Amino acid sequence: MTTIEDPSTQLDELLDKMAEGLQLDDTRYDRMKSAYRAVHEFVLEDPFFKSLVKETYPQGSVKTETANKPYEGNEFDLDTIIQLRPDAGRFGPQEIRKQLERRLREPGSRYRNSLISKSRCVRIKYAGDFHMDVLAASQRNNSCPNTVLVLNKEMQNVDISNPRGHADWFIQQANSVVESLLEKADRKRAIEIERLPNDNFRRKKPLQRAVQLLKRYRDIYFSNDDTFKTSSVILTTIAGQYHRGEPSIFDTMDGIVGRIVSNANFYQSIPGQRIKVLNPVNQLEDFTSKWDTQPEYYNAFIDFASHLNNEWQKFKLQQGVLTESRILKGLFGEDIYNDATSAAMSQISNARASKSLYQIPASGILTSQPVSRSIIKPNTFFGDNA
Amino acid sequence: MHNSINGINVARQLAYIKQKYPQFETELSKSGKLLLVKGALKPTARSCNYKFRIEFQVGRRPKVYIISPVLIKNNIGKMPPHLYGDGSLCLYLPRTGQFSDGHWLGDTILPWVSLWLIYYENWLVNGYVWNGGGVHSGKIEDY
Repeated sequence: MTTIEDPSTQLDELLDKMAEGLQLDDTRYDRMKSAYRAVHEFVLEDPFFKSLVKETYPQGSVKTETANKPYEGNEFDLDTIIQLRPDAGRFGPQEIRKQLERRLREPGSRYRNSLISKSRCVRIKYAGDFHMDVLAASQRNNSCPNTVLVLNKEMQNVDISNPRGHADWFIQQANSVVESLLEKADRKRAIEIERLPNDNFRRKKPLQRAVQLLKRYRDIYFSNDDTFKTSSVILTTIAGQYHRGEPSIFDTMDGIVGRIVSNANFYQSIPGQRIKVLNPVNQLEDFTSKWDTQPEYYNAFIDFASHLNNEWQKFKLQQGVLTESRILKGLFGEDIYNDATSAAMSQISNARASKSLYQIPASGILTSQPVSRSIIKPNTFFGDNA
Repeated sequence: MHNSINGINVARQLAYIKQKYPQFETELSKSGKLLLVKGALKPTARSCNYKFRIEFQVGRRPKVYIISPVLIKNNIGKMPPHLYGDGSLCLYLPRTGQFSDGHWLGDTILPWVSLWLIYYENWLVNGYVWNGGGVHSGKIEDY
């Protein structure tokens, strides 16, 4: 149970709980971690790779801590990198890619029957609900430790890629909020109850939570037809770029979608112009280059953002819990909403059972903070009209 | 003690409510036996304000009605649980000492109204499940 005397904090607590419910559970996370280690060890044991590998690491949402459970039948996509030393560049990206496929497909490889060759990586499909994208690439040079050269089969060129730099940039954007609304509430609570905050407890930053929610809303919005679905890297990057350090999850989302809609309206009046999402660590890379050749992707993205923006504005009217529940269920799914509110109600009931639930007489709001409050005495609701 | 049976008379109940909840309207009937309390409470910061009315006479159960917004029925047209037939809230188990004439309304009934409302709101949004426990058809349910 928490002190929720402020409506913004209450909404953020709910959004935070909903995003928490979207996270990968520990079992699934551990299963993916061991699968990732096994693949990389298998590749590293190969004579070609043995002397060339510099390091291996996950990239994408796992790295930025914005990973969600897959939505209804979708698979979780674990992106990993095998980074080779700069001198591996002598083989060229094409040969490195060929060697990776050769190793994974060789007789005796447990992966040989579950491989899909993708444009920039090799995908391993696992039983259950996830797949792993393995990308092997050489470091570009000694002065750029995170930049790798990746073969892009579809475009028939070599991409200069910096996934770790992208993740570091995102984390830096998220950490621009030194103390979020909920972290501030945690600190206030710890002072009021004269207890030190739990060192092991760390809240995710508003930007990370907003990206989790954005991605879940995207999954639901495009669930009937995902032909022009916006990719996670675009959502994550534009969210990071449009974030202005708002301390709450609500305001972070409000700021991001508001700026998307406002910029889209601005560009609409200029022929041939559109929102561009450039890679923040390599401005030459436009994640949205496809929006030029297939404008349906751009239009779908703008419609998606406009719908979210319209729904989000309704929270500012504070129309009560029932109306807000309908909006949140519609945006992010009923199960996630119900789980989050059940968790909140458990906290209420626990506080009630331990006689640490109070009412603020001036408003009627229930709280666990005892300062000048009225304790809720034990009672049993009676009667049966149901 | 006027209008009380081994407990707190309505005038003192009124004075206590006025002191603890100065924003509420209180009124004593001409006979001095019936206490009326009107006001609004919200159980959470994002809840709407629920207007209520309490009618109390010593020796009888306090009757608490939610005036507005009107309580909403579930998807099959049934009212929320823990209401008496007249629509007043069932806030405590009678004859168990949870509430008697010796208890202050302001320390029991009024805080329980907030508690009832928070479970009611949860009932509304969470598939019409009452998570506040209570006695249902003679059976006690935990919260």
